[in-house]
Amino acid sequence: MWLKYIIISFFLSGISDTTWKMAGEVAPSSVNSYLFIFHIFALLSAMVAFFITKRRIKKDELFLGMVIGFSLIAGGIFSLKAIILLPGIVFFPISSCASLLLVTMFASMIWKEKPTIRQAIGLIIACISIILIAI
Amino acid sequence: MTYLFLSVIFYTIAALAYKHANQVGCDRISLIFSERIAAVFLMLFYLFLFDTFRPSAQVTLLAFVGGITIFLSRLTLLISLKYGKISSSWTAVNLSVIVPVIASIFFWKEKPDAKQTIGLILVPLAIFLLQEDKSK
Repeated sequence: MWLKYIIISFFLSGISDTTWKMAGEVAPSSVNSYLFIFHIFALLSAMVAFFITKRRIKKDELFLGMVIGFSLIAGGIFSLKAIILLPGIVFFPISSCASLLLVTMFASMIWKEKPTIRQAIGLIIACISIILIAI
Repeated sequence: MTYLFLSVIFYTIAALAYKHANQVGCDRISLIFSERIAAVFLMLFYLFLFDTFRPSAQVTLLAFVGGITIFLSRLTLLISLKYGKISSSWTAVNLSVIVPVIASIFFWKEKPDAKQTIGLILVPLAIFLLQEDKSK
């Protein structure tokens, strides 16, 4: 089941990344405008799903959702600033692998989610592949 | 380096908050709805302070496709957390950076160099290795 959902998420996220790249190609000066409209459409999609399924937001969901939303946007903005100032050979390996390693480390400390040896090899290969593609 | 450090910290916070939300049984759609409200407000603030709003038909159409697909991607990512570890799911979704590279090869006839080709070949292997052990 994990593989099925993660492959769907992987491709959908990839399509989304591709539209960002396409926006950068067709209108480089409008990339921030693209991002703003992109977030509005993502919000509208969530809003439609939210109202159709007649849900109510609890305090926890509102707080965690806000934390995630702010973190993703702030991460993206700082990432854009960093890539302007740092050489790619420094930026890509650190940005690609540091977050993956930190998430693994904290998940292991907080929820005792220790990756198996096979998964640890998968993590290392994932880091290597991102670096090879990005540099 | 400070910007890079902050970027890594914020992405890590987002991933851990997804996991925590899943652990405490948050409703997925409500969570993404709140997440997107925060994203729109912060992006609006950023655009207002540092850029000007320059929409066009092409950009709007691309944003429409991108917005819907990222919503569905987040939803399936949250579902995947029910069956696997956050470290595996977050890594696998981060590997989606290869999709624009593959699109560039097919649509813009960009030729990947040897390093990129090896990187692209390694991605399916990484996802295969990251999956949960079925015997557990």
